[in-house]
Amino acid sequence: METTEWALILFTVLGQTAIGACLLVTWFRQWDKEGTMEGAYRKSVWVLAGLAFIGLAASLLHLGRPLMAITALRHLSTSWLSREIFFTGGFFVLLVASVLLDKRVALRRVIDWLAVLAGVLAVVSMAASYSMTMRPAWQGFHTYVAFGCTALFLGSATAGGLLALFGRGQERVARNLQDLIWVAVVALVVQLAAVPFYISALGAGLPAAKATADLLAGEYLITMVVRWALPLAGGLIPLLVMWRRLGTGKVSTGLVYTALAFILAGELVGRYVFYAASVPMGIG
Amino acid sequence: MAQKGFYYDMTTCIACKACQVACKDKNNLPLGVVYRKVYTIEGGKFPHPWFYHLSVGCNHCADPRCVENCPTGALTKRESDGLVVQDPDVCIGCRYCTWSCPYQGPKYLEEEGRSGKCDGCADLVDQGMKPVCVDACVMRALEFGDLEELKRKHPDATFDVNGMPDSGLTHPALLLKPTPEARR
Repeated sequence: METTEWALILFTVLGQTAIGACLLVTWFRQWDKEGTMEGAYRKSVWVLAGLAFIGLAASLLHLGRPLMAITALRHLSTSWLSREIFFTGGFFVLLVASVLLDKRVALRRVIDWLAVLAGVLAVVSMAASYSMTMRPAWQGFHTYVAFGCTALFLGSATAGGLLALFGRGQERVARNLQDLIWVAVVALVVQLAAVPFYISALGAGLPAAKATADLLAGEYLITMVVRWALPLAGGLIPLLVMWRRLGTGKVSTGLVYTALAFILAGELVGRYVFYAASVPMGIG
Repeated sequence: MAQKGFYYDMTTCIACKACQVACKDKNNLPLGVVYRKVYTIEGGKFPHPWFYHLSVGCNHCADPRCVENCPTGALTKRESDGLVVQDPDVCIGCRYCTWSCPYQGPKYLEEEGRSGKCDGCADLVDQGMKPVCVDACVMRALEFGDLEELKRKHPDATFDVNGMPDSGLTHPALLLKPTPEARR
């Protein structure tokens, strides 16, 4: 794998994390009529804007001519890559606007949901831009599932970490965390359920697809085991333990951070394999 | 849209790689980068082994995924002859074109921080000449011209041979006269 792909690993994982977490935080914020968690939600949006910024900055490192990056928006009519940059950039700008217009509540709410919309379109565009390449490993449903689940799985863990940190002592945090655990578990189950379909589709595909299936079952087998062991052992178990404790009214912030760290590590390893095991179509 | 393209006679090619070298020279390409490459594909077993060659550059496809995907519009397909050309000053080096071609046509030029590709020697074509790979071919295995005329001239030629991606993906302007082993 080319080292320049590290920039894309950071860009896609951080971008999708910020988008998924933004969706969930915006949802909670919409229903927090008493406003007890407002400070926590506001600080969380700040951090998510920072994550989106780091992701966008990392994407520049992938370019041979980063100073000309803005011209990537010139071909919105046909290029999914242009659309990906447009919506991800739009998501970041709208998050910043949300932070700056914090006092104007009605307007800020509209901006928050526009940011969510831009974010969802960014994730779809990211998946579409990989799906449009000539690498069978990236074509089809799996890339959409993988990117969407990263947004929701890592996004829910990140939102949980931020709300546990900034909303410490607030009664509503426990309810938010319970909802986030649900989202995380569903995203993990969907992600896992898609794997056998993906491997079998690769095995029945073109030679380049079969080559990817061989890599996943051979050279990258241990990496794949690590990729799933991290979120299952280090992510799911703390989340389930926390679920039980939340039932008794206790918020264990340590468990939230542990789950977040393991889920993040698992997603980074998974995205590494996504790039490393993709075999291009070719001649021969 | 008019469409120029290549005809390649696999039964004649001896893989001397004069086409590959002429292209590399014309485009002044760095070490390790070629816009046209001669592949050798082997198969069979004793006493019936076989091999054949494929000389492939950009195929100036009717549906070029590289042009569709390029985020800056650096890659375009010329109305006048269908050649897929690149404006090197507009390319930002995102490498998306290198992921978008089933023939691995576009290449990343590390030192220049951008991609590059075979443009069918558009500058020579505009002067009524042929691409250098065609002129360099000692076996006259490569021809260049209007794709419809090439089809009429070589009615037995095909777009699909073993070892090449399905032509339905991008509709390449490359007609091939296959060896028996390459015939699909």
